Amino acid sequence: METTQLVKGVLDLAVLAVVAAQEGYGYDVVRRLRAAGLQDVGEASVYGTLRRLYTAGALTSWVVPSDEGPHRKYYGINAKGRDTLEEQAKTWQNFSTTMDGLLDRVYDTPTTSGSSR
Amino acid sequence: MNDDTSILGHGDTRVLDADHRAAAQVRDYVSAVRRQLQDLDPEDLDDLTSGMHADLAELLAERGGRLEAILGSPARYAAELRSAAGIPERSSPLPRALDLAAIRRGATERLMRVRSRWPWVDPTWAFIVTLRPAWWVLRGIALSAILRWFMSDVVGELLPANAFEWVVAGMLVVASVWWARRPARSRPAVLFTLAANIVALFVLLAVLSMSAPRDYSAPAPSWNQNGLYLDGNEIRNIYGYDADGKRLTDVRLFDDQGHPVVPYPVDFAGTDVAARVDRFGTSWNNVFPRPWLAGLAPWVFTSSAEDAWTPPWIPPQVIAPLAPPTVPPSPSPSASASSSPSASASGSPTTAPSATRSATTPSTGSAKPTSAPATSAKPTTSR
Repeated sequence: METTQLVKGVLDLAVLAVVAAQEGYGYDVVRRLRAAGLQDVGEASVYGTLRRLYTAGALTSWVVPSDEGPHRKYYGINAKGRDTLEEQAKTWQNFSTTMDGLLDRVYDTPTTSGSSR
Repeated sequence: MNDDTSILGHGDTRVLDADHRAAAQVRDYVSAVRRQLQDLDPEDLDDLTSGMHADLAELLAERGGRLEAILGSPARYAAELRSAAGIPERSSPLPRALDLAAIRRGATERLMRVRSRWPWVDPTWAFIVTLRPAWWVLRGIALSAILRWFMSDVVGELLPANAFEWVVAGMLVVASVWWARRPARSRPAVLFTLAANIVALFVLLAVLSMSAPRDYSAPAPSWNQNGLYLDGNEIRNIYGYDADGKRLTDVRLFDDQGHPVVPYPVDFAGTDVAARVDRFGTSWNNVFPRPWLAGLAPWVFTSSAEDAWTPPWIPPQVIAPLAPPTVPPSPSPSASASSSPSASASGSPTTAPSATRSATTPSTGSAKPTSAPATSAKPTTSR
């Protein structure tokens, strides 16, 4: 299965989690997502997601002027964003547990402790 | 961020130069992406791309090379940004002059809606389609007509006049039907058919418009009865002179049937001519001369500069007096044959002397208007 498709589904959650850990600008968020292991995440997808979460009221945004170069746009999480994050995290955990259970039955014990995920 | 400071920290001109090139590359890429998002609200667009320069510059500094190699084309980037940000895709990829496919799609959709709303559209259309062979025949005839119009001076007749023309028309009809039934349809052939159809349509419209006046020419005279005509020209006014050659005022005229002589009741300026009233309250439209323009007295031709109307003819104050009627019957009609005098001449012996400029006579004249011309006509012939 292609990871890109999976990432797309959870990108909101991933971005919210990263920004909740620490506020950041677009490329910074991309870098941290990749560092966390989501190699396939696309720049434009992250920027778009940041933008959409901001429009939805889950993020705050501010511009930091720079003397040497172009301005940076920072995003930070707010109360609504934290609520959303919590809710989505719960949904993900439920989903993840369900999937684990499903796969456990197929592969028995060895897979659960070991490989893919 | 460390990369950032390290780059800026370098004093090396080569690095600065590379930095400059990178900035230009980022600028180009951002503006290309913005072009793809031009359907957005300008404010939204600025908002969406406000941090892009800095982010892309950092990305480029970190990875090197070309932005297109890292991120894909600006169009792809914009599409990804759009879908992630939940911005609807633009209907046409780029502002193109004419998207024929979209127009056709739109027309088809509209047609489908029409068909579903009005159930009679489909059967009606099917019926019209069955009439197509009739159009093929008509088209052949129309094309033969235009051929004929070019060959001869007679224009406007749809149907052939002689055997040869019928043969030509028949051949064109056959050609038209054959052409329509051909199975292969190339693009030029379709265009040719379209052109032929348009020409045929114009021919038929021309025939219709040219035959229309001919059809109305019969009822036209009945409409003309509203006016008075002399040799096909409309008579608007009549100026009478008595035997002395002096102007006559307030003369009422009747024809040989006893009908009042009434020209079209509108003066040159288009104003309705007011009728005159006799002492019994009967109104008369046959009083001459009529005022040249509304509001003017009879025989007055200088309108007070309200309009620049000039009368086609200003009647003289006086014309030559008639010679006494020595040989009564023949000379007076022949001498006065030009216009009104024939009528006034017969009436002049009785009315003219007293009626020249006064309005007193009408009362006496009105008592016997219908019979008067008839009775006066009889004496002249009997004499």
